[in-house]
Amino acid sequence: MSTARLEQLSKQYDGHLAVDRINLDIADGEFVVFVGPSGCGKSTTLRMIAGLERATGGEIWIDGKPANHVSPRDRDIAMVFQNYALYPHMTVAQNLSYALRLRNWSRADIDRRVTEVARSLDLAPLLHRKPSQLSGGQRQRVALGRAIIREPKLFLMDEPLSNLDAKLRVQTRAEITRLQRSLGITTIYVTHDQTEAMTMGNKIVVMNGGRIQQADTPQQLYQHPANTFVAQFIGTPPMNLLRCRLEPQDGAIVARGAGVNIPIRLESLTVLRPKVGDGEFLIGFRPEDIVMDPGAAANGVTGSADVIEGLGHESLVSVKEGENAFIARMSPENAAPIRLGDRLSFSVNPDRLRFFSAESGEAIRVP
Amino acid sequence: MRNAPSARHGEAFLPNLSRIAGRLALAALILILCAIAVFPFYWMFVTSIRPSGQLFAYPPEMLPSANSVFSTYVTIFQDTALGTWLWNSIRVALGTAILASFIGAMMAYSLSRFRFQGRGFTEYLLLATQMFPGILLAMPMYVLFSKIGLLNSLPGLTVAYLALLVPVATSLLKTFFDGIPVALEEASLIDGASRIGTFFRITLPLSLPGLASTFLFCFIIAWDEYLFAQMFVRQPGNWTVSVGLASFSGEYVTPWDQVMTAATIVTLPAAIVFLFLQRYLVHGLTAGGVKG
Repeated sequence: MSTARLEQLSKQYDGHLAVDRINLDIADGEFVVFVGPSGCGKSTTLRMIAGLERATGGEIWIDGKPANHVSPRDRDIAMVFQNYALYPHMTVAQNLSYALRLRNWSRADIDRRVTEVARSLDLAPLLHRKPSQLSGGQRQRVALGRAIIREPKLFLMDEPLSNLDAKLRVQTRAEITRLQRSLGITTIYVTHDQTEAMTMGNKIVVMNGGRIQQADTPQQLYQHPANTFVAQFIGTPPMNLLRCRLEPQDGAIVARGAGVNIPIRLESLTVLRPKVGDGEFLIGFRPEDIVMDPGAAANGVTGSADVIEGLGHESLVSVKEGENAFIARMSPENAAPIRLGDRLSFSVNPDRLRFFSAESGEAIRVP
Repeated sequence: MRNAPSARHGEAFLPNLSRIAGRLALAALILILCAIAVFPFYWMFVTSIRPSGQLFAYPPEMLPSANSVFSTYVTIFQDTALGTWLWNSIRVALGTAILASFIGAMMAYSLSRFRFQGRGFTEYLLLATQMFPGILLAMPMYVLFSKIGLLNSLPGLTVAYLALLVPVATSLLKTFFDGIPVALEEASLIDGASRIGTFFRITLPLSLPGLASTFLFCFIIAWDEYLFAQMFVRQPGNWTVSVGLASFSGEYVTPWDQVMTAATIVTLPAAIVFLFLQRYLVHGLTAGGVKG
């Protein structure tokens, strides 16, 4: 049973704030993924939890106890490094048993545990090899084995898959998820890859500029991004964001901008109107939430086809109109007749419309 | 169409020939360079076993003569204090090499791994010590050593050598420590080792090649050193071999057979140390530990 809690945690490097007062609760057994672009502070946060970096402000609690001044060895954590960090002068068996030997386990216990872990990770035939004699994927499994061998309170993983090739990455991703679920050990995982984050975590913490932008389940993050950064960081392609204003039309109120003419529901208006007034705001929808509909010209989004990308199972069509541009996801059959420069109209699923402030980028939640 | 395969064959044959010629040329060059390096040692040894009457024979004989004498190798220990000087040198050189490597390792590790005020300045100072010629340092050190009673003693000489070699050892080892990925130490800290435990279990084993070359470098410098040894130690009983050897050349006669015999003997310990450490002087010890 282990939990972790970050309170106003900060890290300052020579006047530069790498991590800016972040707060987070991590429940027992949870798989938390920190995701964000490089330099967003996610690795620094992880290293502070590990005790490899000293926090310059705030508190870290592990299992309800303050951990700021506890040395890494006494935090009872295990970490998998981006570059594996296997001890090159030791065999696989010695690498695995290092932590156990430091804890003065008996020889028999060590042998038994090493065998167990080696079997679960398919490392048994490699136990007597040195890291230099292993492939990238094998090294990665040894690094994982070294972390799980002593059943720590917390697993910390710092971009463990970034050095693997694409195929191996998908395999290992599933492997880590399976391991974490079966061991039930609270895990904090850092990545810059949003697909990894979405597929692995129970909770995803999106970071940017040293701050937490949003911490939520993958589903919530995708459906209800807290701001334009999250909207565009999560999802490939990102959420479409179009500039528009509220304007009256035929007794109703529509959001109107370059290529945008979307009626707004009354209950949404009650929230939106006081926030944006006559000013600009951003309307957002996912590429799969619009459907090609020639009759939607006066009632949806329109523009000319700019780029058409066929991915085999689907096609992505980029559409431009004035200052606004968006991407539509459609079946290859529907995309086939489209030529560059064609005028296209789409109707938008009104339930999936999101609104953001044009100035702050914060989401405006409407009913 | 028909000659095409044979033409290709001919093309493949030619580069083969030139490759073989290249290899032969390279081998010849290596042999010549080795001969240049080895010849002085060969000449030293051949002279040491030549009967004294034939020492200055002209034209010089390249091969050892039939009536070679090995007796000098015994008498030299009876006629001179070579045995004592050897023992003195071994103590000074070993002491210097061990202490310089140890102190250098400690300093280099802190310079490589910790961020503290004055770190850059310290590194600069280490480099600056190397900018003075030995003789410039020898004089003030002589005055200092005479005041604190370190003259004429082997520990004193060792201290003098340490003053010269610790900065060099530190710079050498820092480069080695810098090459060891910090992530390995962090992994060890998280696995449950202390900072010092990590140093001995991870960093030190991985820097063995660096330690071995530093040790060897310090040993050989201390073994060969003449200037300080000659200035700081006056009693023949405390001389090191370099000073002892020099004392052979007299005002009127220099017994070349004895000089060469002693020189051959003096080369041996350094060679033995080198052979012993050679297996650690390998690269790639950290291979496979981290990626990229």
